[in-house]
Amino acid sequence: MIKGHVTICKIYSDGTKEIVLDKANLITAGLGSSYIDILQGGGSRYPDDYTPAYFQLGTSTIDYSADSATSSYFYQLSTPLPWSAYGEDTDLTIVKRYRGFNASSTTPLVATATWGELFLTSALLSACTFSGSDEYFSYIQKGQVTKFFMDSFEADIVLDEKTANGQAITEVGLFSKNPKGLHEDSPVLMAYRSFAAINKIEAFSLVIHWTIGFLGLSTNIDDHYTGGGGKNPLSRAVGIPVATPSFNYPSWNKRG
Amino acid sequence: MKQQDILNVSGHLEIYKVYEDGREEQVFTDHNVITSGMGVGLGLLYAGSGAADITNFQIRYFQLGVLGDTIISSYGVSETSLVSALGQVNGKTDYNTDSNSVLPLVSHELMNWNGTKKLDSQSGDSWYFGLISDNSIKRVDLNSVTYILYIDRNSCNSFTLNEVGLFMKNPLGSDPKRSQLCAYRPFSNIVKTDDFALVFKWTLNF
Repeated sequence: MIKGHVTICKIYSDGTKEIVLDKANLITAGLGSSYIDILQGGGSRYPDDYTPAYFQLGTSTIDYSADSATSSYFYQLSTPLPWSAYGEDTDLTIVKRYRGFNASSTTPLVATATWGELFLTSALLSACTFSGSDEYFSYIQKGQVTKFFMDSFEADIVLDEKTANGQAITEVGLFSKNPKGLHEDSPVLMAYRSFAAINKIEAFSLVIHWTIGFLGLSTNIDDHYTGGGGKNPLSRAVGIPVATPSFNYPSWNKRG
Repeated sequence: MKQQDILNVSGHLEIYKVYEDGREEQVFTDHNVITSGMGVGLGLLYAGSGAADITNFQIRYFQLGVLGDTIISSYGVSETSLVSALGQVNGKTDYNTDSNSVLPLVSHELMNWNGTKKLDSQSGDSWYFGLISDNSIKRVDLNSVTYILYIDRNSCNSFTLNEVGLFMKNPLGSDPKRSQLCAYRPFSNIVKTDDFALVFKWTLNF
């Protein structure tokens, strides 16, 4: 059972912190299929290519049904920001990359087959192929992805005061670097979260703290809870003790 | 993968007796347990802090054991080893009981929950593992993979087998190699004889 958790904070120039989201996120099918690539001996030969290396912000949401067996079968944000929306003075490095996804066809063996990106649906393996399309991504720097506990990792994303101002941000996606091992990076969506619109303005930075792991399953492994004021992500796990909140945002997040 | 926020890593194990005349008899079918070791391996992989060779994150080994019945009602995700894996006392002859046995074996360390090496019942640090070959690993759909473990008629005979585990190769990139339990299942007793081979069909879903 792999779970993810996202905390989003507004950090004002005087150091004030306001938590605006503290909830679980959706682990998408791309993470699982990438790991199956490894188990089967396909995909990239380099572990680094499976790590979170890019993210996107968006201004709409993917409306998936919790009751659907294929709720996590999507590989994109609903409306990712274009390059210009990140702002001219942003501290982020915005790059164009070939977003990877699994596509299917009803006639996969026909030379003229038409392929469509899998979106909230699955397909037979024999009817699938890997494809992609160019989109804009921001880098997650290497030092922003770290091991948190034995069975989890975390990624920190900082949108500084000069980034995405004027945008009503409603979704964020975390992408692995290049799990198929293509010649150039082809990021694949591994986790997704939608939320009520955050109207980004110059008065604050946004810090997105993302944790993914086998949370709350084993008494051998430390559990953790961000303590950010949202619902305890471990509350569904009956009988599993919750560790004391232990995360403090590093000082470099507090600008001003 | 139904829940909104959770990637449910699950598994299913089927065990068949296959007789010399070709008859097959299913003797077990049930879900299995993905252990926390799988999470540790994935944590190392996605944080970029584990082995440098991607093959070390593959599941390439298995073990069989004889004391799974002692935890059949209490086992869970925290298992880091079989209760009593073959090979600890008599070495590889536990697996290769006959000179005609074709079960490939390797010997190296087993990882404890905290990354250290786990010692066997004789305080040794070398454990025997059955090797899972490339052609025993089959992707069945985008998010599922099946392992076929084949215990031939000349292997593991006279043992009452009742537990099996799958192991990630070497997620820490240790030297010597140190494998980690990532799926486990005790099962009803099977007294292995040379009348039949055993086939374990193990499917993992992500």
